[in-house]
Amino acid sequence: MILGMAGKIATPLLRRRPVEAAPVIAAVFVAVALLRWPLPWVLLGMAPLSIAIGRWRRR
Amino acid sequence: MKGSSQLGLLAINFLILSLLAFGGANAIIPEMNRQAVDVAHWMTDTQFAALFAIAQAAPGPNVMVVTLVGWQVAGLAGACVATAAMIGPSWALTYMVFRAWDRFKNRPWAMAIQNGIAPVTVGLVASSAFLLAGAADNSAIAFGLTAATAALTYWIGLNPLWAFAVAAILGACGLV
Repeated sequence: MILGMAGKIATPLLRRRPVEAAPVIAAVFVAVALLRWPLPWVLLGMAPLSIAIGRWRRR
Repeated sequence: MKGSSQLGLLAINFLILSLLAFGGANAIIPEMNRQAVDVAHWMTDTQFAALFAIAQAAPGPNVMVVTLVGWQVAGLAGACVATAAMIGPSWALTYMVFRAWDRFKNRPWAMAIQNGIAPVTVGLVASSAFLLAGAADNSAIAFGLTAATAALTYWIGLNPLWAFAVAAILGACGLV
């Protein structure tokens, strides 16, 4: 069910903003699911980066 | 003494997690799993997946998995401490942020934050799905059931009760 839900929330995001969303989704997935890095550090790194990418793409 | 230190550890862990729960309880499943299984060794991967399944099958919010983890670690006191630590801070933070957010929601920086957090949340939910599927899929039938449920949820919007019913029948027959 969560797998299906992940697909459902990812689809519109990837359709609307593929260039900025896909690398962030992939990086968070690799860091959390595969490398099992602690969530606070991943969020501290990825959230500002994702916001910065979003702002840079809109300029 | 050991009991109170376990309760303290539960409180600290879930307090921190509650402040990181961007995207709800499903987004912090990987960290909850890491803490409970790899760091504190409170349970195995399979036990964690089973608790998550019970929390999903029971009526109520997704965050019920927290109560079950607390129960597994320290009984009723653990369930109460974990639930309070998870809900209390995020409730207070949401209340405060929402009041401020309503005033600033149309500002460019506020929209940038909102747009930037969304892919991070999707990555976290995808990680939750991957970790739980890895822990639960210990047979070909379990793998098939996960794949079928994911496909039906994604394409048809399957009511979760059907998936639970089929899984329960397969489990009762000893197939999963």
